[in-house]
Amino acid sequence: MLLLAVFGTLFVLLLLRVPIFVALGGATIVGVVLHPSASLIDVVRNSINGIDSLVLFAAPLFVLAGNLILAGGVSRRLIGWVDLLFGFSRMRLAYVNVFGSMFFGGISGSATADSAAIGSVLVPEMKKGGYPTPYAAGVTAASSSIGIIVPPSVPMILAGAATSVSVTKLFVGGYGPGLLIAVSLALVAWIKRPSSGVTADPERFSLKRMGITTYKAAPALVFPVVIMGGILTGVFTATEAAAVAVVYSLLVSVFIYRELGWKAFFTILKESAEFAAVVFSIVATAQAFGRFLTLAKVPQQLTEFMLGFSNIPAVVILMMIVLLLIIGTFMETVPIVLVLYPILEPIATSPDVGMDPIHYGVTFMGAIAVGLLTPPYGVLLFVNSKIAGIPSADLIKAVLPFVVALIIDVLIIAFFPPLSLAPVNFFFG
Amino acid sequence: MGRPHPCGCSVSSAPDLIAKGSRGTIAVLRLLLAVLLGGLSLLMFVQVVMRYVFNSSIVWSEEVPRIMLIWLVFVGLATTMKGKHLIIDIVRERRWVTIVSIVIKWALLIFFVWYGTILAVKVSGQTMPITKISRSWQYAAAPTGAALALLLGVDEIVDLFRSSGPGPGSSDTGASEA
Repeated sequence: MLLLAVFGTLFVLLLLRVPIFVALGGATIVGVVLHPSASLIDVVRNSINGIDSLVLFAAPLFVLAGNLILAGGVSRRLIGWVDLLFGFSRMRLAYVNVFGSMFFGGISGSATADSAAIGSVLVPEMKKGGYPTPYAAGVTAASSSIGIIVPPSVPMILAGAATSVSVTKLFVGGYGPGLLIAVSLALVAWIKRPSSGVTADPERFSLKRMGITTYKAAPALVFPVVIMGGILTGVFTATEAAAVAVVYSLLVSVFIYRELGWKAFFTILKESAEFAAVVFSIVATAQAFGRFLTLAKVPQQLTEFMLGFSNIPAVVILMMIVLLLIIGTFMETVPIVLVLYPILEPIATSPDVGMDPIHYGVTFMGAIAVGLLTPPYGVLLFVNSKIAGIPSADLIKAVLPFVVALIIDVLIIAFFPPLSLAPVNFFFG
Repeated sequence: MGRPHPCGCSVSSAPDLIAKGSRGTIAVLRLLLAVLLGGLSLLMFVQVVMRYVFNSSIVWSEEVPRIMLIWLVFVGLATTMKGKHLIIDIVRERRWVTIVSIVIKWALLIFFVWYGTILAVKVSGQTMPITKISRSWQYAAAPTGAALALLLGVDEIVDLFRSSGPGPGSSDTGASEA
C-alpha cells in the first residue's frame, strides 16, 4: 500500500511535467507521512547529505573540463586525427563519427556534449559528402551513447555516490565494453551504408599528413592519457583527476589553441555550474528518496520478489536488463542511476546471481545507454534531430538498427564478464 | 518590454518590473555560481599540487569545497527554475498542467524553506571536524536556495496570468525553450 502510494505519486507528478527533482522530493514526502517511523525533517537532511560527498565533486569538474576543451576548438583537430585512420575507406566519415565519439567519450563526461561536439562538425560534412541526413544523424546519436560507458562518465560517478562501488574501477571496467560498442556500431554503419550517392574522397595516407594532424591533435590525445594514467597509477583519485582535467583543458584552450577568450570562459563556468545544479538537485532528492526506500525495506522486498521468481542467474540478469531498457524509454539517466542502481546491486551481487559489483555496474551503464536512444524520452534523439534539423521520427527510424546492435552488446557485456573485468583485474588484481 | 504609456513617456508596469528584477537577480546569482565552480576547481587542483609536489596539504581543503558545492547546487537550483530543470516530456503542455506543476513546485520549495530553516538552526552547535565551521553554514544553503527559487518563481506566475489575458500582452510562456 505504502509503496503503491509512493510510486503512484512519483509517476503522476512526473506525468504532470513537474521537474524530476520536485517529483522525487514529493514522492518521498508522501512516503514519509504514511510511514510510521520516518520524519519529515530527514527528507531535507538526507537531500543535503546526499550531495555532501567528495566523490560527487568529480561530476561537475569533468563536465566543466569537457566544455572548456570543446570550446577551445578540439573537436575539429581530434576529428582530423581520427580521419587519418580511416582515410582508406569510402565510408570514412561514418567511421570517424563512431570512433571520434569514442575518443570524445574519453574526454567529456556526458553523451549530449559528445553529440554536440561531433554532430555539429560531422553532420554537415556528411551531408555534403552525399550521406542521407537521417543516416548521418543516426550514426552521431548512436555513437554518442558510448560516452556513458567510456570514462570519465557522470553516471558512473553518480553510481559511486549512491553505493560504495569504486568509481575508479568502474571507469577502468568501461574501456572494453566501450570498444566493443564502437566496433559494433561501425559494423552497423557499414551494413546500413547508403547504396549510392556517397562521394568517395579518399585522402592518401602520408607520413607528413600524419605528423601534422598528430601534432595538432596532441593536446587532445594526451588528455585521456593523463587523466586515466593518473588514476590507474594511483597518483590521484577520480575527483583530483577531474580538477587536473579542468586546469589542463583551460591551459590547452587558452594558451595552446588560443580559441577560448576569458568572456567565453566565464559563460562556460556559469553554464557548467547550472548544469551541475540541475543534475545535483535530482541527486539530492533522489538520495532522500533512496534513503526512504531503504527504510521501507524496498530493496529486500524486490530482491526476494525477483529471486523468488527465478534464481537462475541468467534469468535474473535478463530481467534486470529488460527492466532497465523499459524504464530507460521514459526516464532520464540520472534518476535511473540514483534510484535503481543501489536497489538492483544487492540482487546482482547476491550469491544466487553472483555478479561482480564492477561487472554489474558496467552492465547497468550499458543498459541505460540504450535508453538515450529510445522514444518517447531519448535525450540523444532530441539533441540530434535539432542538430541535423530533421523530425525526430526520421531519426528514430535511422537509429533503430543501432539500437538493436547496442542491445546485443549489452547482452555480450552481461554474459561475458572478462570484457569488463580483465582490465580491472590487470590493474587492481 | 514596457508598453508605451498614453502620455508617451515610458512607464514600466508591475509585471515588467518583476521580470526585470528576476533577470537582474539571476545575473548576479549566475556570477556567484561561476565563482563557486571556478573556486572549487582551483581549490581541488591546488590540493593535488600541494599533496604530490610539496607533500603537504591544506587542512581546510576538503571541508570548504564541501560547503561550496552545496551552495552551488541550491543557488543553481534557483537560477534554473524557469524552464531549465529536467522534466519528463510525455504529456503535452496544457494550461492546467502548468498550473498544477507550479503549485506542486511551490509546495516542495516551501517545505524546503520551512524544514531547512529548522534543520539549519538545529545543527548550529555541530561543527565540522577540522575547520570548526558550524554545520549551519552547510545546511543553510537549502532554505536559502529554495527561498530564492520562490522569489524568482513569482515571474513565472506573472507570465502565466499574462498569457491567459487577451490582447497584446499575451505572448509565449517563456518556458518553451530549455
